Amino acid sequence: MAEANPEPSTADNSTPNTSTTDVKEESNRSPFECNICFDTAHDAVVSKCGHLYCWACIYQWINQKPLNPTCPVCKGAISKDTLTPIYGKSGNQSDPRNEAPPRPQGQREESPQQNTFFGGPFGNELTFQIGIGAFPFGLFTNFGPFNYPGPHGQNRQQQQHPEAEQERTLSKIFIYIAIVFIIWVLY
Amino acid sequence: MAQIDFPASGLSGASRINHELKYFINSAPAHINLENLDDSNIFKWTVNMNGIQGTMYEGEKFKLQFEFTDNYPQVSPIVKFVSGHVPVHPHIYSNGHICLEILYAGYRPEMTIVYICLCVTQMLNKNKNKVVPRGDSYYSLRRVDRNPKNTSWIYEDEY
Repeated sequence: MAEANPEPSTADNSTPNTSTTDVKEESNRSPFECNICFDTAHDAVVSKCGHLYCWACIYQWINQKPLNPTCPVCKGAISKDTLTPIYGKSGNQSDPRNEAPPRPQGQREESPQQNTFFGGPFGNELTFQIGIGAFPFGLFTNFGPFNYPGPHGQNRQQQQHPEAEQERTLSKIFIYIAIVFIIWVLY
Repeated sequence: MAQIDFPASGLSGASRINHELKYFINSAPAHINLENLDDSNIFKWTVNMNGIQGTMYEGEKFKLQFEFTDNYPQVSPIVKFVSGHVPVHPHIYSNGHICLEILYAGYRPEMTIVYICLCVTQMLNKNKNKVVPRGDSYYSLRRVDRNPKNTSWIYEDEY
């Protein structure tokens, strides 16, 4: 039966005869252990709240609570889509993903600067107008796209659609003014 | 959803239980200790628990039993007091079943056995009124040796 022993002897008394009780090993615990299986994370993924799991472990947990999955550590909301995989230098020799479902893909976004000069949804139209318009107005319209940070993909293009419409009517007005200006200069 | 077979390493209950064992031996507080484990069945633990000094349970001894399944830690262990070693508490039935949210709906795989033991200890420490729960005799008679996880619990107090 139990006595109120001080801690060290408690450990001695209660040590079972299993071969797994390696006390030293415990003090060298890696900081990269899965929060579910307590082994070094295998196919590591990290939640938005920063908690590390094996992909297989967290997959099982999420599937258990499909309606409202929460982080096992902090109870924050998690989902398969918001997990980020972690890729180390040395890859796995044997790929366990043959049996487990694949980890979610990493999400890479283009940096905004790369597309600023080429990608605007109404870029072509503007260059055409610069060719026709007189200098001051050409300059005006030319400045249009620089005010927008580069497009981020389809969502952004859809958002900008009404603005593009406005821009078009605006540049039409500029063209008429430019023509009137040229006629006025000539005569 | 179809059942997917995961690789055995690191994902079976036994692996996690071995980790728990090391952790328990290293970091369990003085008032709890592990009764000798049967080497052939590490899926059933009995933890001896002493009442903390200065609380209503000072000098008393209890036995808390953990039963694990193969899909532990994804699924919570069955935790109950062993009959004959049950504290008198408004949320602990005399058949050993404990009304504590973290053992059922609030369970998370990250919880260690030491953590669960400490939660139960905390529950005892905070108690100021040594009475059995309402309807204890009725519940305990009907649910002798049943799995407490099959009971639908209503959690009243914050612990």
